[in-house]
Amino acid sequence: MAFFEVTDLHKSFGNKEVLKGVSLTLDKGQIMAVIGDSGNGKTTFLRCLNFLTEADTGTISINGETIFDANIPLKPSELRKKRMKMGLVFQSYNLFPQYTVLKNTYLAANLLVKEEASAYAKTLTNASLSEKRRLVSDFKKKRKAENVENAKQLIGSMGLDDESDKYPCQLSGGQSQRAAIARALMLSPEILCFDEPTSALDPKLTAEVLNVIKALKEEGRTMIVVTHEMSFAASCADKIVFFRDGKVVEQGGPEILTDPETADLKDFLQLNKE
Amino acid sequence: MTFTQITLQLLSGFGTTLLLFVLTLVFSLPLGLAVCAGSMSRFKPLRFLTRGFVWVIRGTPLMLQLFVVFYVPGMLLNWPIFASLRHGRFIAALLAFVINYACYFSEIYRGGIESVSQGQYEASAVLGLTKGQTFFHIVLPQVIKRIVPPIGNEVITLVKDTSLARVIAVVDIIMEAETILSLHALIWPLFYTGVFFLVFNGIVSFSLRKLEQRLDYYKI
Repeated sequence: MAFFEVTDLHKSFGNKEVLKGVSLTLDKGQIMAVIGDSGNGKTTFLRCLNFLTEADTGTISINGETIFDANIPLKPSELRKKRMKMGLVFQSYNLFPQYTVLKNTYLAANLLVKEEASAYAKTLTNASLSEKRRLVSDFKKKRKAENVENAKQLIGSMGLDDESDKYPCQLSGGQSQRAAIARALMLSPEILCFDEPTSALDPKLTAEVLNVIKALKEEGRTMIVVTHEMSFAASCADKIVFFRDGKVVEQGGPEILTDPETADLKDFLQLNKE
Repeated sequence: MTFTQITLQLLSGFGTTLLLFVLTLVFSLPLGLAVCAGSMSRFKPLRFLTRGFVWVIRGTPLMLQLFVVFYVPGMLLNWPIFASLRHGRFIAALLAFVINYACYFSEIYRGGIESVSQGQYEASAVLGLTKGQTFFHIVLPQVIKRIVPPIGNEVITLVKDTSLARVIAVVDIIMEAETILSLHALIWPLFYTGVFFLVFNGIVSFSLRKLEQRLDYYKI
């Protein structure tokens, strides 16, 4: 069984069918590049993977664990736990403007500390009430400090040490996107998805962000990247998936970009060259 | 009457004005959030009811609402609750002001909440934030920044609107001046009341500007 597996994903908006049965697999530590013209379901596919859009039918599983099954509705708390296995970096960054880069990064992890603490409190069966309270409060402090340290490290690895205390409005596009990547990595998702991460950036900043994605690949992260950067797809992706009209028309290694089998992909690559 | 005596007498009226102002804000700012929740509710009957109510309150004069709050309990229930209570007139005025301003504030809140981009909700969702966490940590701070200027406008209007309370005989500063006019045949104290409003609104505007500056460390 593949590390990541999507089977028969369907999604309609009204009577417009946007995803018409998407199935694919991805191995651990690989990059999948999702290509295709706009309006062919790539973004909807990515949104379904992150539960921002709920697929009508189909399943998604990671490491043998089903994280989504259209037939089995989840409670909000379960859904939240499962969706954290996936990370998503948006085209427009969506950083929280009122917080610094550092707080953007650690916020979600720190908000989870409360739940961690109540789970921890349950393990303290022998402690007296006052002792319990002290232990839980120490636990919270420790976890929060760890999160901040962890966030600082991630920010450093994104080359943003000097920007750590800046607000999103003070960052360049490339810095914003790298901050958004740090934020997404904070919860250690099994799979990190990127929705056209460079389409708002000029070539220099694009290179900056793509280099970060390459570096993450070196670390062994599994990633799915919706992209229009064919050179990036050709040089970095282990797997290329070509979407047309809500379906995966062709998939394979990077060689399909030079030697496409289907007329549709040939057609798409021809137009992108011009 | 000396200038000092007149100033002191007007100040006692202005005390009522200030109390009405402060209490109206204390109650209507949070109540506005509740009205806003109603007008944005997914439960249709509640939404229509709230929006209808807001439409009535914003569509009729505040002076009329003061009369309604003050007189209607006595007419309908045969129990003139506000006329019989010791501070009944003040309470009736406060009630009318709170309802009126809560409706205005609710619309400002709604505009503020609707202006937060979908992307902020989506980013919160993929990071596993609960709905409550998303609202209080992500949405609300941005809403506050956006609504300070329009809320400020309403606050300044409220300072002046408090003088309407005199229609149900709440003794505010202008009413004090009228008393002086009829008892001592002095008209200038009436005009002098404007200074009190001006000075107080100057302080309010200054504080609001400071608040805006404090929230200016980031842009949305």
